[in-house]
Amino acid sequence: MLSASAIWIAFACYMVFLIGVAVYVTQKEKKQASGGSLLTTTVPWFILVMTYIASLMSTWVFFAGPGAYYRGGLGYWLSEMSYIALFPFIAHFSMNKVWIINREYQGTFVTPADFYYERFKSGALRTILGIVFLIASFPYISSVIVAISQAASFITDGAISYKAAVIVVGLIMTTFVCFGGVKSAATADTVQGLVFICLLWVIAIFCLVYGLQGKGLFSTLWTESPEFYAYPGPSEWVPYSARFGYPFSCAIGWTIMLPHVFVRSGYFGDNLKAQRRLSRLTPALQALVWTGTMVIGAIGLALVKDLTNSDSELIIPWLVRNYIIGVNPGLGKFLLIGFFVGASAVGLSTSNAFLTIASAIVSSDILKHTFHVKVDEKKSVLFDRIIVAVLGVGSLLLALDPPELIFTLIMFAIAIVMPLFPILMFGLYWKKATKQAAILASIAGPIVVILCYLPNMKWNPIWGGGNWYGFWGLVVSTILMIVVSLVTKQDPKDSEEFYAKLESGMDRFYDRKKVKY
Amino acid sequence: MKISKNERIWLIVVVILYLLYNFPGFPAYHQPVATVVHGFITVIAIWIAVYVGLGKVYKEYPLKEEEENK
Repeated sequence: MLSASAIWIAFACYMVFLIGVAVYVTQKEKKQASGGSLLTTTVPWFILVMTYIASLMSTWVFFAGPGAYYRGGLGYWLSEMSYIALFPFIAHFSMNKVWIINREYQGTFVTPADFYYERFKSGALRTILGIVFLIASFPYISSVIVAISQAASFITDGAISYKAAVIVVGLIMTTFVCFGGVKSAATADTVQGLVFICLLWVIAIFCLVYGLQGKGLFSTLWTESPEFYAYPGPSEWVPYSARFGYPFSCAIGWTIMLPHVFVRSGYFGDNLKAQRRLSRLTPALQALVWTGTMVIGAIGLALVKDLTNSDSELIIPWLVRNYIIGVNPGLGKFLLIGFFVGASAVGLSTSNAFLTIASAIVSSDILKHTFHVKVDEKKSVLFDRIIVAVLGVGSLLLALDPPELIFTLIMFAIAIVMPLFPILMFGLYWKKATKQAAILASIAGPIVVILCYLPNMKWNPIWGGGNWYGFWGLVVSTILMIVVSLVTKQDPKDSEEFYAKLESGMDRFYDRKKVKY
Repeated sequence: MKISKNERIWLIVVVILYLLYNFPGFPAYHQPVATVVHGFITVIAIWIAVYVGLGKVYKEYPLKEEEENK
Protein backbone atom coordinates (compact mmCIF):
# COMPACT_ATOMS: atom_id res chain seq x y z
CA MET A 1 0.00 0.00 0.00
CA LEU A 2 2.61 2.54 1.12
CA SER A 3 6.37 2.47 0.82
CA ALA A 4 8.50 2.25 3.93
CA SER A 5 10.11 5.61 3.09
CA ALA A 6 6.69 7.35 2.98
CA ILE A 7 5.95 6.11 6.48
CA TRP A 8 9.33 7.09 7.88
CA ILE A 9 9.09 10.57 6.32
CA ALA A 10 5.59 11.06 7.78
CA PHE A 11 6.81 9.88 11.15
CA ALA A 12 9.87 12.14 10.97
CA CYS A 13 7.67 15.18 10.20
CA TYR A 14 5.54 14.36 13.18
CA MET A 15 8.62 14.04 15.37
CA VAL A 16 9.86 17.44 14.20
CA PHE A 17 6.53 18.85 15.39
CA LEU A 18 6.90 17.14 18.78
CA ILE A 19 10.47 18.29 19.22
CA GLY A 20 9.41 21.83 18.22
CA VAL A 21 6.77 21.76 20.96
CA ALA A 22 9.27 20.45 23.49
CA VAL A 23 11.79 23.18 22.61
CA TYR A 24 9.11 25.90 22.68
CA VAL A 25 7.78 24.82 26.09
CA THR A 26 11.25 24.40 27.57
CA GLN A 27 12.35 27.84 26.38
CA LYS A 28 9.16 29.42 27.66
CA GLU A 29 9.61 27.83 31.06
CA LYS A 30 13.22 28.98 31.18
CA LYS A 31 12.12 32.56 30.47
CA GLN A 32 9.56 32.31 33.23
CA ALA A 33 12.25 30.76 35.40
CA SER A 34 9.77 28.16 36.62
CA GLY A 35 12.36 25.35 36.56
CA GLY A 36 11.53 22.35 38.73
CA SER A 37 10.76 18.76 37.94
CA LEU A 38 9.92 17.34 34.51
CA LEU A 39 7.16 15.38 36.14
CA THR A 40 4.71 17.95 37.57
CA THR A 41 2.77 20.91 36.22
CA THR A 42 -0.48 22.87 36.29
CA VAL A 43 -2.14 23.96 33.06
CA PRO A 44 -5.03 26.23 31.95
CA TRP A 45 -8.47 24.69 31.40
CA PHE A 46 -8.31 24.25 27.62
CA ILE A 47 -4.98 22.39 27.74
CA LEU A 48 -6.27 20.42 30.71
CA VAL A 49 -9.36 19.26 28.78
CA MET A 50 -7.41 18.41 25.63
CA THR A 51 -4.57 16.59 27.37
CA TYR A 52 -7.11 14.59 29.35
CA ILE A 53 -9.07 13.65 26.20
CA ALA A 54 -5.88 12.87 24.27
CA SER A 55 -4.73 10.64 27.11
CA LEU A 56 -8.02 8.76 26.99
CA MET A 57 -8.05 8.48 23.20
CA SER A 58 -4.82 6.52 23.14
CA THR A 59 -4.57 3.69 20.66
CA TRP A 60 -8.17 2.96 21.52
CA VAL A 61 -9.56 5.33 18.94
CA PHE A 62 -7.72 4.06 15.88
CA PHE A 63 -7.23 0.40 16.82
CA ALA A 64 -8.92 -1.32 19.74
CA GLY A 65 -12.09 0.81 19.52
CA PRO A 66 -13.17 0.14 15.91
CA GLY A 67 -12.35 -3.54 16.40
CA ALA A 68 -14.35 -3.65 19.62
CA TYR A 69 -17.41 -2.09 17.96
CA TYR A 70 -17.05 -4.55 15.11
CA ARG A 71 -17.19 -7.40 17.63
CA GLY A 72 -19.58 -5.87 20.17
CA GLY A 73 -22.06 -3.84 18.12
CA LEU A 74 -24.44 -1.17 19.32
CA GLY A 75 -24.69 -2.68 22.81
CA TYR A 76 -21.02 -1.98 23.18
CA TRP A 77 -21.47 1.64 22.10
CA LEU A 78 -24.31 2.04 24.60
CA SER A 79 -22.08 0.72 27.35
CA GLU A 80 -19.45 3.30 26.35
CA MET A 81 -22.04 6.08 26.46
CA SER A 82 -23.24 4.92 29.88
CA TYR A 83 -19.83 5.35 31.50
CA ILE A 84 -18.76 8.45 29.57
CA ALA A 85 -21.69 10.32 31.13
CA LEU A 86 -20.57 9.33 34.62
CA PHE A 87 -17.27 11.25 34.58
CA PRO A 88 -18.58 14.57 36.01
CA PHE A 89 -20.54 12.62 38.61
CA ILE A 90 -17.60 10.52 39.81
CA ALA A 91 -15.14 13.41 39.50
CA HIS A 92 -17.33 15.62 41.70
CA PHE A 93 -17.29 13.13 44.55
CA SER A 94 -13.65 12.12 44.14
CA MET A 95 -11.19 14.06 41.99
CA ASN A 96 -12.36 17.57 42.84
CA LYS A 97 -11.76 16.74 46.50
CA VAL A 98 -8.36 15.31 45.58
CA TRP A 99 -7.59 18.58 43.75
CA ILE A 100 -8.58 20.63 46.82
CA ILE A 101 -6.42 18.53 49.13
CA ASN A 102 -3.45 18.86 46.77
CA ARG A 103 -3.90 22.63 46.76
CA GLU A 104 -4.00 22.69 50.54
CA TYR A 105 -0.67 20.84 50.50
CA GLN A 106 0.73 23.60 48.19
CA GLY A 107 0.41 21.45 45.05
CA THR A 108 3.22 19.15 46.15
CA PHE A 109 1.59 15.86 45.08
CA VAL A 110 3.43 14.17 42.24
CA THR A 111 2.03 10.65 42.17
CA PRO A 112 -1.41 9.24 43.06
CA ALA A 113 0.14 7.56 46.12
CA ASP A 114 1.03 10.99 47.58
CA PHE A 115 -2.66 11.63 48.14
CA TYR A 116 -3.23 8.26 49.83
CA TYR A 117 -0.17 8.79 52.03
CA GLU A 118 -1.47 12.06 53.46
CA ARG A 119 -4.73 10.35 54.44
CA PHE A 120 -3.40 7.07 55.82
CA LYS A 121 0.18 8.02 56.78
CA SER A 122 1.54 4.64 55.76
CA GLY A 123 4.84 4.21 53.95
CA ALA A 124 3.96 0.59 53.22
CA LEU A 125 0.73 1.66 51.52
CA ARG A 126 2.62 4.18 49.41
CA THR A 127 5.03 1.49 48.23
CA ILE A 128 2.26 -1.01 47.41
CA LEU A 129 0.28 1.61 45.50
CA GLY A 130 3.41 2.63 43.62
CA ILE A 131 3.97 -0.97 42.56
CA VAL A 132 0.32 -1.46 41.46
CA PHE A 133 0.34 1.74 39.44
CA LEU A 134 3.63 0.70 37.84
CA ILE A 135 2.18 -2.71 36.95
CA ALA A 136 -0.62 -0.85 35.15
CA SER A 137 1.83 1.37 33.30
CA PHE A 138 3.96 -1.18 31.48
CA PRO A 139 1.18 -2.97 29.54
CA TYR A 140 -0.36 0.35 28.65
CA ILE A 141 2.83 1.91 27.28
CA SER A 142 3.56 -1.34 25.46
CA SER A 143 0.06 -1.36 23.94
CA VAL A 144 0.88 1.92 22.23
CA ILE A 145 4.18 0.73 20.81
CA VAL A 146 2.51 -2.52 19.66
CA ALA A 147 -0.35 -0.67 17.94
CA ILE A 148 1.83 1.82 16.08
CA SER A 149 4.28 -0.86 14.99
CA GLN A 150 1.51 -3.19 13.77
CA ALA A 151 0.06 -0.29 11.80
CA ALA A 152 3.42 0.52 10.20
CA SER A 153 3.92 -3.09 9.21
CA PHE A 154 0.33 -3.52 7.90
CA ILE A 155 0.13 -0.42 5.75
CA THR A 156 3.52 -1.04 4.14
CA ASP A 157 2.61 -4.69 3.44
CA GLY A 158 5.47 -5.79 5.67
CA ALA A 159 8.13 -3.50 4.13
CA ILE A 160 8.65 -2.13 7.65
CA SER A 161 9.15 -5.06 9.97
CA TYR A 162 7.17 -5.09 13.19
CA LYS A 163 10.28 -5.36 15.38
CA ALA A 164 12.11 -2.52 13.63
CA ALA A 165 9.07 -0.31 14.17
CA VAL A 166 8.87 -1.28 17.85
CA ILE A 167 12.48 -0.25 18.40
CA VAL A 168 12.26 3.06 16.51
CA VAL A 169 8.89 4.11 17.99
CA GLY A 170 9.89 3.07 21.51
CA LEU A 171 13.17 4.97 21.39
CA ILE A 172 11.65 8.14 19.92
CA MET A 173 8.85 8.14 22.49
CA THR A 174 11.36 7.75 25.31
CA THR A 175 13.61 10.51 23.97
CA PHE A 176 10.71 12.96 23.66
CA VAL A 177 9.61 12.47 27.26
CA CYS A 178 13.22 12.59 28.50
CA PHE A 179 13.73 16.06 27.09
CA GLY A 180 10.25 17.52 26.95
CA GLY A 181 8.64 16.59 30.23
CA VAL A 182 5.02 16.67 31.17
CA LYS A 183 4.13 20.19 30.04
CA SER A 184 5.43 19.55 26.53
CA ALA A 185 3.31 16.41 26.34
CA ALA A 186 0.23 18.36 27.47
CA THR A 187 0.81 21.16 24.98
CA ALA A 188 1.37 18.73 22.09
CA ASP A 189 -1.83 16.91 23.12
CA THR A 190 -3.84 20.08 22.70
CA VAL A 191 -2.83 20.59 19.08
CA GLN A 192 -2.88 17.00 17.97
CA GLY A 193 -6.01 16.12 19.93
CA LEU A 194 -8.03 18.59 17.88
CA VAL A 195 -6.42 17.59 14.58
CA PHE A 196 -6.96 13.89 15.09
CA ILE A 197 -10.52 14.14 16.32
CA CYS A 198 -11.22 15.78 12.94
CA LEU A 199 -9.14 13.17 11.11
CA LEU A 200 -11.07 10.33 12.72
CA TRP A 201 -14.33 11.70 11.34
CA VAL A 202 -12.75 12.36 7.92
CA ILE A 203 -11.72 8.69 7.76
CA ALA A 204 -15.19 7.61 8.90
CA ILE A 205 -16.94 9.74 6.26
CA PHE A 206 -14.72 8.61 3.36
CA CYS A 207 -15.03 4.95 4.37
CA LEU A 208 -18.78 5.44 4.43
CA VAL A 209 -18.86 7.12 1.02
CA TYR A 210 -16.50 4.74 -0.78
CA GLY A 211 -17.33 1.55 1.13
CA LEU A 212 -21.11 1.66 1.19
CA GLN A 213 -21.53 3.74 -1.98
CA GLY A 214 -24.71 5.52 -1.03
CA LYS A 215 -26.31 2.75 1.02
CA GLY A 216 -27.40 3.75 4.51
CA LEU A 217 -25.04 2.35 7.14
CA PHE A 218 -27.53 1.65 9.90
CA SER A 219 -30.32 0.44 7.59
CA THR A 220 -27.86 -1.96 5.92
CA LEU A 221 -26.85 -3.33 9.31
CA TRP A 222 -30.49 -3.61 10.38
CA THR A 223 -31.33 -5.88 7.44
CA GLU A 224 -28.05 -7.72 6.91
CA SER A 225 -26.48 -7.83 10.38
CA PRO A 226 -29.28 -7.39 12.96
CA GLU A 227 -26.97 -8.92 15.57
CA PHE A 228 -25.21 -5.53 15.57
CA TYR A 229 -28.24 -4.09 17.37
CA ALA A 230 -28.77 -6.84 19.93
CA TYR A 231 -26.95 -8.25 22.94
CA PRO A 232 -24.58 -10.08 23.02
CA GLY A 233 -23.35 -8.45 19.80
CA PRO A 234 -22.02 -9.71 16.44
CA SER A 235 -19.22 -11.80 17.98
CA GLU A 236 -21.22 -12.55 21.16
CA TRP A 237 -18.84 -10.20 22.87
CA VAL A 238 -21.24 -8.25 25.09
CA PRO A 239 -23.10 -10.64 27.43
CA TYR A 240 -24.83 -9.07 30.46
CA SER A 241 -21.70 -9.47 32.58
CA ALA A 242 -19.61 -7.47 30.09
CA ARG A 243 -22.39 -4.91 29.60
CA PHE A 244 -21.97 -4.10 33.29
CA GLY A 245 -18.34 -5.03 33.91
CA TYR A 246 -16.83 -3.18 30.99
CA PRO A 247 -18.36 0.31 31.42
CA PHE A 248 -18.08 0.08 35.17
CA SER A 249 -14.38 -0.66 34.82
CA CYS A 250 -13.97 2.18 32.38
CA ALA A 251 -15.89 4.65 34.56
CA ILE A 252 -13.53 3.98 37.44
CA GLY A 253 -10.34 2.51 36.03
CA TRP A 254 -10.07 4.29 32.68
CA THR A 255 -11.32 7.78 33.51
CA ILE A 256 -10.19 8.14 37.14
CA MET A 257 -7.72 5.59 38.46
CA LEU A 258 -5.13 4.99 35.74
CA PRO A 259 -2.19 6.96 37.09
CA HIS A 260 -1.81 9.31 34.11
CA VAL A 261 -5.48 10.35 34.22
CA PHE A 262 -5.49 10.44 38.03
CA VAL A 263 -2.88 13.21 38.05
CA ARG A 264 -4.57 15.03 35.17
CA SER A 265 -8.04 15.02 36.69
CA GLY A 266 -6.81 15.47 40.25
CA TYR A 267 -3.64 17.58 40.19
CA PHE A 268 -3.17 19.40 36.88
CA GLY A 269 -6.01 21.96 36.81
CA ASP A 270 -4.68 25.43 37.64
CA ASN A 271 -7.92 26.30 39.44
CA LEU A 272 -11.25 24.79 40.38
CA LYS A 273 -12.96 26.50 37.46
CA ALA A 274 -10.70 24.49 35.16
CA GLN A 275 -11.67 21.35 37.06
CA ARG A 276 -15.36 22.14 36.51
CA ARG A 277 -14.85 22.82 32.82
CA LEU A 278 -13.05 19.50 32.55
CA SER A 279 -16.08 17.79 34.10
CA ARG A 280 -18.57 19.55 31.84
CA LEU A 281 -16.73 19.19 28.54
CA THR A 282 -15.13 15.76 28.78
CA PRO A 283 -18.29 13.64 28.25
CA ALA A 284 -19.38 15.65 25.18
CA LEU A 285 -15.95 15.46 23.53
CA GLN A 286 -15.53 11.83 24.42
CA ALA A 287 -18.97 10.98 22.99
CA LEU A 288 -18.02 12.74 19.74
CA VAL A 289 -14.77 10.80 19.38
CA TRP A 290 -16.13 7.42 20.49
CA THR A 291 -19.12 7.70 18.16
CA GLY A 292 -16.76 8.28 15.21
CA THR A 293 -14.94 5.13 16.26
CA MET A 294 -18.23 3.22 16.44
CA VAL A 295 -19.19 4.36 12.92
CA ILE A 296 -15.92 2.95 11.56
CA GLY A 297 -16.47 -0.40 13.32
CA ALA A 298 -20.05 -0.48 12.01
CA ILE A 299 -18.91 0.23 8.43
CA GLY A 300 -16.48 -2.67 8.72
CA LEU A 301 -19.25 -5.01 9.84
CA ALA A 302 -21.60 -3.82 7.09
CA LEU A 303 -18.93 -4.71 4.50
CA VAL A 304 -17.43 -7.93 5.85
CA LYS A 305 -18.39 -10.32 8.62
CA ASP A 306 -15.52 -12.73 9.06
CA LEU A 307 -12.54 -10.66 10.21
CA THR A 308 -10.46 -12.29 12.93
CA ASN A 309 -10.11 -10.51 16.28
CA SER A 310 -6.66 -9.09 15.56
CA ASP A 311 -7.60 -8.11 11.98
CA SER A 312 -10.62 -6.23 13.31
CA GLU A 313 -8.22 -3.96 15.23
CA LEU A 314 -6.68 -2.91 11.91
CA ILE A 315 -10.03 -2.21 10.34
CA ILE A 316 -9.21 1.37 9.31
CA PRO A 317 -6.27 0.49 7.01
CA TRP A 318 -8.20 -2.59 5.90
CA LEU A 319 -11.15 -0.45 4.77
CA VAL A 320 -8.89 2.07 3.03
CA ARG A 321 -6.95 -0.68 1.26
CA ASN A 322 -10.03 -2.56 0.04
CA TYR A 323 -12.49 0.23 -0.72
CA ILE A 324 -10.66 3.52 -1.32
CA ILE A 325 -7.14 3.02 -2.65
CA GLY A 326 -8.32 1.26 -5.85
CA VAL A 327 -10.82 4.01 -6.68
CA ASN A 328 -8.88 7.05 -5.50
CA PRO A 329 -5.21 6.21 -4.82
CA GLY A 330 -4.23 9.74 -3.79
CA LEU A 331 -6.97 9.99 -1.19
CA GLY A 332 -6.28 6.44 -0.03
CA LYS A 333 -2.59 7.17 0.57
CA PHE A 334 -3.44 10.44 2.32
CA LEU A 335 -5.85 8.63 4.65
CA LEU A 336 -3.33 5.87 5.37
CA ILE A 337 -0.62 8.38 6.26
CA GLY A 338 -3.17 10.32 8.32
CA PHE A 339 -4.19 7.10 10.06
CA PHE A 340 -0.59 6.20 10.82
CA VAL A 341 0.41 9.64 12.07
CA GLY A 342 -2.89 10.02 13.96
CA ALA A 343 -2.53 6.63 15.60
CA SER A 344 1.08 7.44 16.46
CA ALA A 345 0.13 10.84 17.85
CA VAL A 346 -2.73 9.81 20.11
CA GLY A 347 -0.83 6.71 21.14
CA LEU A 348 2.35 8.58 21.91
CA SER A 349 0.52 11.25 23.87
CA THR A 350 -0.89 8.54 26.11
CA SER A 351 2.37 6.69 26.49
CA ASN A 352 4.17 9.98 27.13
CA ALA A 353 1.70 10.70 29.89
CA PHE A 354 2.11 7.19 31.26
CA LEU A 355 5.87 7.27 30.99
CA THR A 356 6.00 10.54 32.85
CA ILE A 357 3.85 9.37 35.72
CA ALA A 358 5.53 5.96 35.85
CA SER A 359 8.87 7.75 36.18
CA ALA A 360 7.47 9.90 38.95
CA ILE A 361 6.28 6.76 40.75
CA VAL A 362 9.72 5.17 40.56
CA SER A 363 11.50 8.37 41.48
CA SER A 364 9.19 9.47 44.30
CA ASP A 365 7.26 6.48 45.67
CA ILE A 366 9.90 3.79 45.24
CA LEU A 367 13.35 5.38 45.35
CA LYS A 368 12.79 8.50 47.45
CA HIS A 369 10.18 7.33 49.94
CA THR A 370 10.73 3.57 50.08
CA PHE A 371 14.50 3.30 49.72
CA HIS A 372 15.23 6.85 50.94
CA VAL A 373 17.52 7.62 47.99
CA LYS A 374 18.49 11.26 48.20
CA VAL A 375 19.07 13.13 44.96
CA ASP A 376 20.70 16.53 44.72
CA GLU A 377 18.11 19.05 43.49
CA LYS A 378 20.41 20.13 40.66
CA LYS A 379 20.67 16.55 39.46
CA SER A 380 16.98 15.70 39.84
CA VAL A 381 16.13 16.43 36.18
CA LEU A 382 18.93 14.14 35.00
CA PHE A 383 17.75 11.53 37.47
CA ASP A 384 14.17 11.78 36.11
CA ARG A 385 15.50 11.39 32.56
CA ILE A 386 17.42 8.24 33.44
CA ILE A 387 14.29 6.70 34.96
CA VAL A 388 12.19 7.65 31.91
CA ALA A 389 14.80 6.02 29.67
CA VAL A 390 14.87 2.79 31.69
CA LEU A 391 11.05 2.53 31.78
CA GLY A 392 10.73 3.36 28.08
CA VAL A 393 13.19 0.65 27.10
CA GLY A 394 11.43 -1.80 29.45
CA SER A 395 8.09 -1.18 27.72
CA LEU A 396 9.79 -1.50 24.35
CA LEU A 397 11.08 -4.96 25.31
CA LEU A 398 7.59 -6.00 26.45
CA ALA A 399 6.18 -4.85 23.09
CA LEU A 400 8.49 -7.15 21.15
CA ASP A 401 6.34 -10.17 22.06
CA PRO A 402 2.78 -8.91 22.68
CA PRO A 403 -0.55 -10.78 23.18
CA GLU A 404 -2.99 -11.09 20.26
CA LEU A 405 -5.20 -8.17 21.21
CA ILE A 406 -4.14 -4.63 22.12
CA PHE A 407 -7.50 -4.51 23.88
CA THR A 408 -6.27 -7.14 26.36
CA LEU A 409 -3.25 -5.05 27.37
CA ILE A 410 -5.33 -1.91 27.85
CA MET A 411 -8.13 -3.58 29.80
CA PHE A 412 -5.71 -5.36 32.14
CA ALA A 413 -4.12 -2.03 33.04
CA ILE A 414 -7.58 -0.60 33.78
CA ALA A 415 -8.67 -3.63 35.80
CA ILE A 416 -5.61 -3.75 38.05
CA VAL A 417 -6.08 -0.19 39.37
CA MET A 418 -9.83 -0.49 40.01
CA PRO A 419 -9.50 -1.96 43.53
CA LEU A 420 -7.67 1.20 44.62
CA PHE A 421 -10.79 3.32 44.08
CA PRO A 422 -12.66 2.20 47.25
CA ILE A 423 -9.58 3.10 49.29
CA LEU A 424 -9.70 6.61 47.86
CA MET A 425 -13.42 7.01 48.57
CA PHE A 426 -13.32 5.56 52.08
CA GLY A 427 -10.29 7.73 52.74
CA LEU A 428 -12.25 10.83 51.76
CA TYR A 429 -15.60 10.10 53.36
CA TRP A 430 -15.03 7.73 56.30
CA LYS A 431 -12.84 8.85 59.18
CA LYS A 432 -12.79 5.32 60.64
CA ALA A 433 -11.04 3.86 57.59
CA THR A 434 -7.65 2.58 58.76
CA LYS A 435 -4.28 2.13 57.12
CA GLN A 436 -4.36 -1.60 57.94
CA ALA A 437 -7.55 -1.89 55.85
CA ALA A 438 -6.06 0.20 53.06
CA ILE A 439 -2.92 -1.96 52.94
CA LEU A 440 -4.87 -5.22 52.85
CA ALA A 441 -7.34 -3.91 50.27
CA SER A 442 -4.55 -2.61 48.03
CA ILE A 443 -2.88 -6.05 48.07
CA ALA A 444 -5.91 -8.36 47.92
CA GLY A 445 -7.89 -6.36 45.33
CA PRO A 446 -5.24 -6.47 42.59
CA ILE A 447 -4.48 -10.14 43.39
CA VAL A 448 -8.18 -10.97 42.82
CA VAL A 449 -8.02 -9.13 39.49
CA ILE A 450 -4.99 -11.17 38.45
CA LEU A 451 -6.75 -14.40 39.51
CA CYS A 452 -9.74 -13.44 37.33
CA TYR A 453 -7.34 -13.11 34.40
CA LEU A 454 -5.80 -16.58 34.74
CA PRO A 455 -6.16 -18.43 31.43
CA ASN A 456 -8.77 -20.89 32.70
CA MET A 457 -10.81 -18.05 34.26
CA LYS A 458 -10.60 -15.45 31.53
CA TRP A 459 -13.92 -16.06 29.82
CA ASN A 460 -15.69 -17.60 32.80
CA PRO A 461 -19.14 -15.91 32.70
CA ILE A 462 -19.35 -15.51 36.48
CA TRP A 463 -15.81 -14.64 37.57
CA GLY A 464 -13.72 -14.23 34.44
CA GLY A 465 -11.61 -11.13 33.83
CA GLY A 466 -12.68 -11.17 30.18
CA ASN A 467 -16.18 -10.12 31.20
CA TRP A 468 -15.81 -8.42 34.55
CA TYR A 469 -12.37 -6.86 34.23
CA GLY A 470 -11.58 -5.32 37.65
CA PHE A 471 -15.06 -5.58 39.18
CA TRP A 472 -14.40 -8.50 41.55
CA GLY A 473 -11.16 -6.93 42.72
CA LEU A 474 -13.08 -3.77 43.55
CA VAL A 475 -15.72 -5.76 45.47
CA VAL A 476 -13.07 -7.53 47.55
CA SER A 477 -11.26 -4.26 48.17
CA THR A 478 -14.51 -2.58 49.31
CA ILE A 479 -15.38 -5.41 51.70
CA LEU A 480 -11.88 -5.41 53.17
CA MET A 481 -11.93 -1.64 53.67
CA ILE A 482 -15.14 -1.93 55.71
CA VAL A 483 -14.46 -5.10 57.68
CA VAL A 484 -10.80 -4.50 58.49
CA SER A 485 -11.43 -0.85 59.40
CA LEU A 486 -14.08 -2.00 61.88
CA VAL A 487 -11.78 -4.50 63.57
CA THR A 488 -8.57 -2.43 63.56
CA LYS A 489 -7.66 0.95 64.98
CA GLN A 490 -5.47 3.78 63.83
CA ASP A 491 -4.56 6.83 65.83
CA PRO A 492 -7.08 9.53 64.72
CA LYS A 493 -4.22 12.04 64.85
CA ASP A 494 -2.81 10.44 61.69
CA SER A 495 -5.70 11.78 59.61
CA GLU A 496 -6.52 14.95 61.59
CA GLU A 497 -4.42 17.19 59.37
CA PHE A 498 -5.90 15.63 56.20
CA TYR A 499 -9.50 16.28 57.23
CA ALA A 500 -8.67 19.73 58.57
CA LYS A 501 -7.13 20.60 55.20
CA LEU A 502 -10.11 19.13 53.35
CA GLU A 503 -12.49 21.33 55.33
CA SER A 504 -10.32 24.43 55.07
CA GLY A 505 -9.89 23.79 51.34
CA MET A 506 -13.66 23.47 50.86
CA ASP A 507 -14.05 26.83 52.59
CA ARG A 508 -11.19 28.34 50.62
CA PHE A 509 -12.62 27.47 47.20
CA TYR A 510 -16.39 27.13 47.73
CA ASP A 511 -19.02 29.42 49.14
CA ARG A 512 -20.91 26.89 51.27
CA LYS A 513 -23.58 29.23 52.72
CA LYS A 514 -26.38 27.67 50.64
CA VAL A 515 -25.46 24.04 51.29
CA LYS A 516 -28.16 22.01 53.05
CA TYR A 517 -27.01 18.88 54.83
CA MET B 1 -16.75 14.57 55.08
CA LYS B 2 -20.47 15.20 54.78
CA ILE B 3 -22.41 15.36 51.54
CA SER B 4 -25.38 17.66 50.98
CA LYS B 5 -29.01 16.70 50.44
CA ASN B 6 -28.78 17.55 46.74
CA GLU B 7 -25.66 15.44 46.38
CA ARG B 8 -27.42 12.51 48.08
CA ILE B 9 -30.40 12.78 45.72
CA TRP B 10 -28.07 13.03 42.73
CA LEU B 11 -26.14 9.98 43.89
CA ILE B 12 -29.30 7.90 44.35
CA VAL B 13 -30.91 8.91 41.03
CA VAL B 14 -27.80 8.21 38.97
CA VAL B 15 -27.19 4.86 40.66
CA ILE B 16 -30.81 3.80 40.09
CA LEU B 17 -30.67 4.77 36.42
CA TYR B 18 -27.36 2.97 36.01
CA LEU B 19 -28.95 -0.14 37.55
CA LEU B 20 -31.93 0.17 35.20
CA TYR B 21 -29.58 0.28 32.24
CA ASN B 22 -27.90 -2.83 33.63
CA PHE B 23 -31.09 -4.67 34.63
CA PRO B 24 -30.05 -8.35 34.51
CA GLY B 25 -31.68 -10.38 31.75
CA PHE B 26 -33.26 -7.38 30.03
CA PRO B 27 -33.44 -6.90 27.12
CA ALA B 28 -33.26 -10.56 26.12
CA TYR B 29 -30.40 -11.66 23.88
CA HIS B 30 -30.89 -11.38 20.09
CA GLN B 31 -33.69 -8.78 20.39
CA PRO B 32 -32.63 -5.73 18.34
CA VAL B 33 -35.74 -3.57 18.88
CA ALA B 34 -35.78 -4.10 22.63
CA THR B 35 -32.04 -3.41 22.85
CA VAL B 36 -32.29 -0.15 20.93
CA VAL B 37 -35.32 1.12 22.89
CA HIS B 38 -33.99 0.08 26.30
CA GLY B 39 -30.47 1.31 25.55
CA PHE B 40 -31.41 4.74 24.30
CA ILE B 41 -34.00 5.43 27.01
CA THR B 42 -31.79 4.42 29.91
CA VAL B 43 -28.55 5.93 28.57
CA ILE B 44 -30.19 9.26 27.69
CA ALA B 45 -31.76 9.28 31.16
CA ILE B 46 -28.31 8.79 32.71
CA TRP B 47 -26.90 11.73 30.71
CA ILE B 48 -29.81 13.97 31.69
CA ALA B 49 -29.58 12.99 35.36
CA VAL B 50 -25.83 13.59 35.46
CA TYR B 51 -25.97 17.03 33.85
CA VAL B 52 -29.08 18.25 35.72
CA GLY B 53 -27.56 17.10 38.99
CA LEU B 54 -24.24 18.67 38.09
CA GLY B 55 -25.94 22.03 37.51
CA LYS B 56 -27.76 21.85 40.83
CA VAL B 57 -24.69 20.83 42.79
CA TYR B 58 -22.52 23.51 41.19
CA LYS B 59 -25.19 26.06 42.03
CA GLU B 60 -25.23 24.84 45.60
CA TYR B 61 -21.44 25.10 45.80
CA PRO B 62 -20.62 28.37 43.99
CA LEU B 63 -16.91 29.04 43.61
CA LYS B 64 -15.48 31.91 45.59
CA GLU B 65 -14.56 34.81 43.35
CA GLU B 66 -11.01 34.96 44.58
CA GLU B 67 -7.74 34.98 42.72
CA GLU B 68 -7.18 31.27 43.19
CA ASN B 69 -10.42 30.39 41.38
CA LYS B 70 -9.78 32.64 38.38
